[in-house]
Amino acid sequence: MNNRLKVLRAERDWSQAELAGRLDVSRQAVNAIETGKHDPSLPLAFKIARLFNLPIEEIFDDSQS
Amino acid sequence: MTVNPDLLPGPGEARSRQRRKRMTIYYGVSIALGFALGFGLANVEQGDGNFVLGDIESLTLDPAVAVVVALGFLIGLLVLPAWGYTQIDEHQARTNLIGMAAGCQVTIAGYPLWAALAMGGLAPMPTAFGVFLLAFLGMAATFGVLKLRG
Repeated sequence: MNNRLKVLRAERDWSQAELAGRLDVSRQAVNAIETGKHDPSLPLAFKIARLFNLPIEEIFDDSQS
Repeated sequence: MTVNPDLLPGPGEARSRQRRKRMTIYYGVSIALGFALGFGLANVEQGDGNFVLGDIESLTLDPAVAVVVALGFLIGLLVLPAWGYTQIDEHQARTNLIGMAAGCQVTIAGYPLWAALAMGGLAPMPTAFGVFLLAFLGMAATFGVLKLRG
């Protein structure tokens, strides 16, 4: 699944560790999500959406690329 | 001297540092307990057997020492890992579950394979400790590969 997490994080000038702390996950989890190696659970996806104040579908894209 | 607030680490950085510190302490305690049990057991076991080679029937322990060692294994191999699972996030939990499944699969395949080789005279007979090592090393190797792949 594609996502815009890295772009959104960069727009706020946050490090992976900063974003990880705000989401209460490990930095490795943020890295795995950004690189598409891990799809977040629904609760974590909602948490990410709330943090960036965006609908989930504006962050995650499930269309096959 | 004033510090530019934009250059200060955010609240997320602080929480990430706390998480890393907690996990470092957890791994440190686990490793220290493992070494203490391993070296302790090597020094207190009596008899002609060899724990590592699986010849434990010839080994004896003082009953009080046996209880302490058993409690150490209970804490090191059950209580600490169980607490560790409550501290990790979903990505780490997934990695751990894959590692555990791999350890289980290696054991399921490894024991009959080892037994067949032993019956053919190509390997020593399987031991309980050897089977334990199969599971542990299978899990650890898979976990290591997953960590390296991110």
